[in-house]
Amino acid sequence: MEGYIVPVLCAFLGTLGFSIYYNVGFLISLINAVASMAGYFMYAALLSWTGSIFRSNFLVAVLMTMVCEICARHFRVPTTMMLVPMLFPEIPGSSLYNMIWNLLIGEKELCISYMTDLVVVIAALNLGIVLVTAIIKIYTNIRIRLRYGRYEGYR
Amino acid sequence: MSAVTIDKEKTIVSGQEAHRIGDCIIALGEKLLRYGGEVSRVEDTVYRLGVAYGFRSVDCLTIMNCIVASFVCSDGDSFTQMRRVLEIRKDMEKIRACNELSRAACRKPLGPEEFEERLRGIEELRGYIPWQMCLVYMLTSASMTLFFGGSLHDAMASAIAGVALYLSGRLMDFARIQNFVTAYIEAFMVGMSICLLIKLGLGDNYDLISMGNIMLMISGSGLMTSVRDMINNDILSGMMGLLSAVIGAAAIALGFVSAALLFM
Repeated sequence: MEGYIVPVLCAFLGTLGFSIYYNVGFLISLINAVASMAGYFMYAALLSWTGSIFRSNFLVAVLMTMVCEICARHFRVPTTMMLVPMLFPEIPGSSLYNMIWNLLIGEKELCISYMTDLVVVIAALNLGIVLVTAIIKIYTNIRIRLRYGRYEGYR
Repeated sequence: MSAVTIDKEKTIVSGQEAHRIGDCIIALGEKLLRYGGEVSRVEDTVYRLGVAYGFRSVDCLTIMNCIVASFVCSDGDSFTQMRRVLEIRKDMEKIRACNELSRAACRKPLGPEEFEERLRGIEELRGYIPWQMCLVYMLTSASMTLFFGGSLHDAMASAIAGVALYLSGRLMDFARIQNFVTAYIEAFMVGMSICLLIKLGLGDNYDLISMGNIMLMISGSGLMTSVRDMINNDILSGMMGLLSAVIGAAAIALGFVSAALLFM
């Protein structure tokens, strides 16, 4: 538990900074930072419980996308404004660096191992986002159809 | 051509003003794309506004850095416009402002003058001032170095390297070259400054200090928006965005690693 305190606090500060870097307003940046901190805590807990990078990243992506969709609708802001910063600590910057490093010094096996980690994390995050986004899109389309009849698009 | 009529139901009948409104609509789409909006958001905005203004038919095709939109007025007159977006600069506050303008115009269509005025307003929106941004770079780099297991000593070096990252970014703004070349040069310059800091005894672990700075440079949004584009059936834009994000990330890591291999 004590080992989590520094990374979780750093996730908060890092996300706050990253949100401001993308010129997100301070209030939304603060919400992003709090959500990202909770998300990273959940990721660390899941990782120690399941031992699987894929599962923990996937579940965190699902949770964060849900939180983000709710908050974005509540605050009437674009989803991107919240989703990208909320998942900031999960972006595999270290795997990317280590992969290129090992590639350039000729450590092929280590390079492949880091590359696998990188692909797994990106795939897990994106699959989590895709799942929630697709469910919300289906729900929205059904609601439009029930309210306005057959959906003909804008033409 | 008859003049525009924004009647009680707020719909354009036809005329020169319809062209002006079409101009405004595509300008809004262009801004959304330029400030990092997803392709689906751009197309959706153009469609919704077109319908709200009473165009008989609206077609819009957007790829990563280009928008083509065609409008058919209620009298059968039609016109097509194309906008090329050469530089994408992520600015979430401007995307939010574009969204607000689009919502307001869909609810109650604005006249072309007011629309143009509000578009200018979006352009004039100012973000955080330079010293605040510099602090943000320092804070994010230092906290991410600590996040990856660096010491306080490393975090301090990372914060200083964050200033170098900010300054190199501003310097690169003047050089209008390919994005990933810019990213490589920026990363190389920051890598050199980290080497210098370590030689001066201000940091210990090059890799942890670099990782803290890499996190700010990697286009996480590129990776995510491109996947969202693919879900929304924009396979081409999604693939282009993904490829661009991957090449950009590799260029950044290469910049840091090559600086370390040369100067450490």
